[in-house]
Amino acid sequence: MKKIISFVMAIGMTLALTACGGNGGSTTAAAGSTTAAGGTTAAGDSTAAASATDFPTKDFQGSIMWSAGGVCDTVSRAIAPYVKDALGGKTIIYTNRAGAAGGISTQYVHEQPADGYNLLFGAENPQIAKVMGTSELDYSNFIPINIFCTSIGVVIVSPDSPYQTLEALVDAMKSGTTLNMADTGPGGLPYAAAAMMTSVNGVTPNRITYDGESACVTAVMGGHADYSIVTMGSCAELTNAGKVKALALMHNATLETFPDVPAITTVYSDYDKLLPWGPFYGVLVREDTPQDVVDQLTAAFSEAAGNPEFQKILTDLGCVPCNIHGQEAIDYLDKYRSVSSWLMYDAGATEISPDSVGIPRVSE
Amino acid sequence: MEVLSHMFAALADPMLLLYLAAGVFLGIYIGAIPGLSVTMAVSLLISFTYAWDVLPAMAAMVGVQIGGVYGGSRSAILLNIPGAPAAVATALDGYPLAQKGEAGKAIGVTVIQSVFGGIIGALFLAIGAPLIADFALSFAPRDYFLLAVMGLMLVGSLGNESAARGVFAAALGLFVGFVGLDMVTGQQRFTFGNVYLQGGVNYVVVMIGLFGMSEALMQLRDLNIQPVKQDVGKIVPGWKNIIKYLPLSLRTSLIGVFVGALPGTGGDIAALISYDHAKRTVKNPEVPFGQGAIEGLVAPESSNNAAIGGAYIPMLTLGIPGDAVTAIVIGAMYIHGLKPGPMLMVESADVFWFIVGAVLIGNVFLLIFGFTGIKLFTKIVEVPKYILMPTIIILSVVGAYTINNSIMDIYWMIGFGILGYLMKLYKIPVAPVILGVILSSLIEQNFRRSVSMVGNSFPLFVKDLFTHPISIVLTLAILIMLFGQTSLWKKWKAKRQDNK
Repeated sequence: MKKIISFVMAIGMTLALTACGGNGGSTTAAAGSTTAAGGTTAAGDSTAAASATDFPTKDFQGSIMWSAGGVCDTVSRAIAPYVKDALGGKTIIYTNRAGAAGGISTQYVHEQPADGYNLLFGAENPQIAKVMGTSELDYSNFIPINIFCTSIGVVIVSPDSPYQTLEALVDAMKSGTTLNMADTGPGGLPYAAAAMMTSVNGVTPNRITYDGESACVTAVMGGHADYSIVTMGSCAELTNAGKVKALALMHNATLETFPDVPAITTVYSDYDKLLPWGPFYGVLVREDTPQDVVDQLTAAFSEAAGNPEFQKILTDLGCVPCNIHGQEAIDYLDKYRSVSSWLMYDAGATEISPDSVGIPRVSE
Repeated sequence: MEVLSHMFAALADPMLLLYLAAGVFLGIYIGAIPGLSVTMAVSLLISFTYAWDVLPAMAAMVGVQIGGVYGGSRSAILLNIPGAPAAVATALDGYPLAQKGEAGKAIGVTVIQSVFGGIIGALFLAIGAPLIADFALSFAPRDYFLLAVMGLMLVGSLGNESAARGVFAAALGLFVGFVGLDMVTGQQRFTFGNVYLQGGVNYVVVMIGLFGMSEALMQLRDLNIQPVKQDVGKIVPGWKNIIKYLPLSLRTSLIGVFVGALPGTGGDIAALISYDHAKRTVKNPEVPFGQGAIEGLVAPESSNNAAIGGAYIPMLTLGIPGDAVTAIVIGAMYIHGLKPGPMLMVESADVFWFIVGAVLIGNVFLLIFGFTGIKLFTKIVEVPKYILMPTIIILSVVGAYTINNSIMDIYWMIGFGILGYLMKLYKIPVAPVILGVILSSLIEQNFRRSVSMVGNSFPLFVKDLFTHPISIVLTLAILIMLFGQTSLWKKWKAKRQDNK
């Protein structure tokens, strides 16, 4: 009889520990029931750091502006284990609020209290929302906490394509051949990169719009599109395996991981004035968040974003870790918005002039 | 030999086996709750598998997926509310069986067929993954378009009494699919300037409203109907029964594997195409389709589980997701330091073969757990309606909210619930609406892609249909299906039978 009682008590204690580790958040709570691993360590962390400050006192809500499984989602979720300790052991409960090219997430987070507990995990897209007319909000309505990394575009063709160099591709289009380019719709990286090619090389492809970058890569591999310009991350492994051929990086330098792929600036030097340019991923909070809260979050996230293990994940995803924050991040976002908005306008992608929504042209 | 040892690593390690089993078990019950989807369950899992090793994390995710796809059929049979889009077709014949008190028998058939399909899927994944992936790549946008049109042909089978009503309902569904930002031009379509409409209307929301909410409203009209007593004596179908449907389950499993392997289509479309296939090829079912035909359960259930193995084919060989769930699994692999892509089979062969093995072993667990809780579940049907119906409405609200965590989706769900209620009152079938919403973007976008690929020329598009091997086969299949429904063909067939 005693044995049974002690057994029941032991199970009860284990369950209690697991429950503590769960921190009551909806994501982890649902999870807590199946795992006992890690329960004790999590509980230990929260008691150690809680006394240091009165922020944070509760879990964070993170809104991710793209759907589960994409690069934005993966980067946003991957930082969680590295930032947890610096956030006093509090958990970030992630929610994907995809839609309207990030507009739904920006809208949602902007409607929440400016207390630093609502984090916006986003990509570059809102920076052209005003000229594209998709949303009233862009990152000027938020305070950047950290820009984790940037991503680089790459021009890809099928390995058995007749165009084995960028010059061959551009020359074919110049001589009047219509080439199909797989893109992801207005405002996406392929679209913007094609706009750059139009302004520098004077060539315009026939755009075929696909659901996302991996669908674009699939179309190139299957021979349904002549070329595409996608982020390095979405085709890095396929390039290594020789399933797609990378012609040039939309960047002003070559990458260590792909020494054989030339930077587009070495092929056409006119790209120098437009590059570096590419998608980025980061975390922001609503404007009007108290400065001391912003400072604490900035310290926590910059430490996590500098963690070599986290940076390894970023490199695997084809991203370039940058870990910028504070005024530097604000300036970065500002310049990005200006360059991209004018690029869209000059390429004829939108009728709304950046001037009319208060975005000045950056002087070179 | 090494391959086998990786494949069955789970058998050697009781903890891995436990994760897989727990995944399957949880998946069944998550899948059975309308609105809680497999996609959601797997994305929840990711957040707390960071700290785990790779293999346990993969085991749990594969398990949940296998269990969840099967689980969706339970509520479809018992309540006429599909737990997941892949179970929409299952409700068509499953619910009539429950109304006859044969829910136990129906669930038994779905378990066996799900396991059968799942194992076929795993076998194709193990043996032919690279070949099938290459074949899937050669599907051009026009072939996706043809495939979606083939799915739309099912309307003919769904419009029970009046074909016109079925077509009307499907057209409504296609229209709902047009709402949102135009993908090619960024133009706002039917959004009325509302930012929440830019992303369109989620088809799972439409499904929960049309099936869950409207069914509850419908049943509330008469609270005094005595629930049907369910016979749960003989649940496990006999060998004779399994062998009888073997040819059909084999065909529909193959459809499942290939449709699942195509990037961009998953178990939901596989199940719909398979149901249509069954309806066209099975000449004399014991009970007519739509009234509780066993064939109507066999086809979609074997097919949607076979699609799981199919979906892992492009994912494991190319790093390209075959459906929404594998898209999330790819994200998880990156977090665990793996690089999904063509080199995965070489660089991380252990993980590759472990996943293949997990799909196979997971189905064995499905065979065991699939038969649990049936007595309990069938009791749900016997719960008094004044308790059951409000519960279903609450679940529908929760389910609609959890898809995108958006309040807007709840309003949509209620709106479609009321619409579905009115449609049922006026005998307009609701299933074609969901068919239309699921296929809408697939049809529209691929049509636009195929036409713009040939310089916006419609004649050249038609020429393409008859000059590429895959397109020719699909086009001919559609033409034969169409011709088979014309009165000319029916007359000729009747005449021939008379002569006999």
